[in-house]
Amino acid sequence: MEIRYTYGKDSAPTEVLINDNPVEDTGTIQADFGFYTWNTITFKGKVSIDKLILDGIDTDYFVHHGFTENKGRGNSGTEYVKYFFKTPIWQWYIEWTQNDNNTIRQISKTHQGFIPL
Amino acid sequence: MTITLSDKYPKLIRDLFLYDTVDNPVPTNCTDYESLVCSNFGFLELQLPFQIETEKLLKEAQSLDWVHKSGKYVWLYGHDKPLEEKLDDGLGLDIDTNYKTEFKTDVQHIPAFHKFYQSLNELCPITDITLKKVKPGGWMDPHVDSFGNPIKMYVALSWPKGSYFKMYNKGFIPLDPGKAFWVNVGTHSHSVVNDSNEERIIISLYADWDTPAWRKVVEASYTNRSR
Repeated sequence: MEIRYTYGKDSAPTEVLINDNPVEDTGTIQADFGFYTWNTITFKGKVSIDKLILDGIDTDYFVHHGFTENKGRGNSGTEYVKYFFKTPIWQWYIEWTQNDNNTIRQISKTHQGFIPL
Repeated sequence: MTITLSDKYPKLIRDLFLYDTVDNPVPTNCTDYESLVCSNFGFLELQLPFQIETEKLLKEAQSLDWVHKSGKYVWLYGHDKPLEEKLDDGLGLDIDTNYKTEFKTDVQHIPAFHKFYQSLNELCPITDITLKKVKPGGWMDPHVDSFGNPIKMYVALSWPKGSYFKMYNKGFIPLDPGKAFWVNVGTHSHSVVNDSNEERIIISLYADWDTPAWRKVVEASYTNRSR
């Protein structure tokens, strides 16, 4: 599977890891993943990620939901930004966006995590 | 059923159309209206107690001024009263004001549309009705609609070969001119493609579905559905 990414302005990456294994930081990475497996890509350093295209699918929505060192979510961090994804990408991405937009999830977001009974 | 689309469509859509093989629009064990609505069903073909004058509706739809939206598809609000009144009534959103200048309210020029509106409105009060076009080669990315009223009704006026309405984990909606479907767009991701050389036009509407008359329509449609 191909992974393509673009750094934001003034990024200073030090290392890229796929499933905690270092890979060459070329902007395009070929990697093999098992079917229906969870995986991670981690960008170390002071970085922001503008684009993350997994298996040819632009995860536009996803880039705002990286894990960072400050326990927040987003596409920029001073130490790292880490993303989770599951194969096959199309199915994971559709299910993820579908569930992230469902009624309970929206109510939960609005009320900072509390689901009204 | 699966569909292989050409590279001109985004990979997410191509993969959805190719790899999602599930075809399960409605559960088989619903006993009544409530159990169907609560079942997270995908879509149900409707058997309406009035005739849909598809050809007349299509001609009228084609005669209207259409407002382009996003460059990929176009739509027009076809509510049978002035948009200002609709907004005053609180039925519209602020963004609807963008369509004010293009809006045509004279129902005399769209009698079939008016008749359709009135016939359906007797069964369930319509809150919003829209005509939507997808241009040749157009598409809509997989998305979930508003969960405020998750179920929408679609009536196809034109459905050229190569038009698809795909719902994730539910299947392709077998739309055709004159066919009406009740579709759970607020719950399930869906995507549309017009892989043809003609425009694809549908009526799309929301209503208060919780009326006795509408419940009967849904229950009869469910009982008599083709399997």
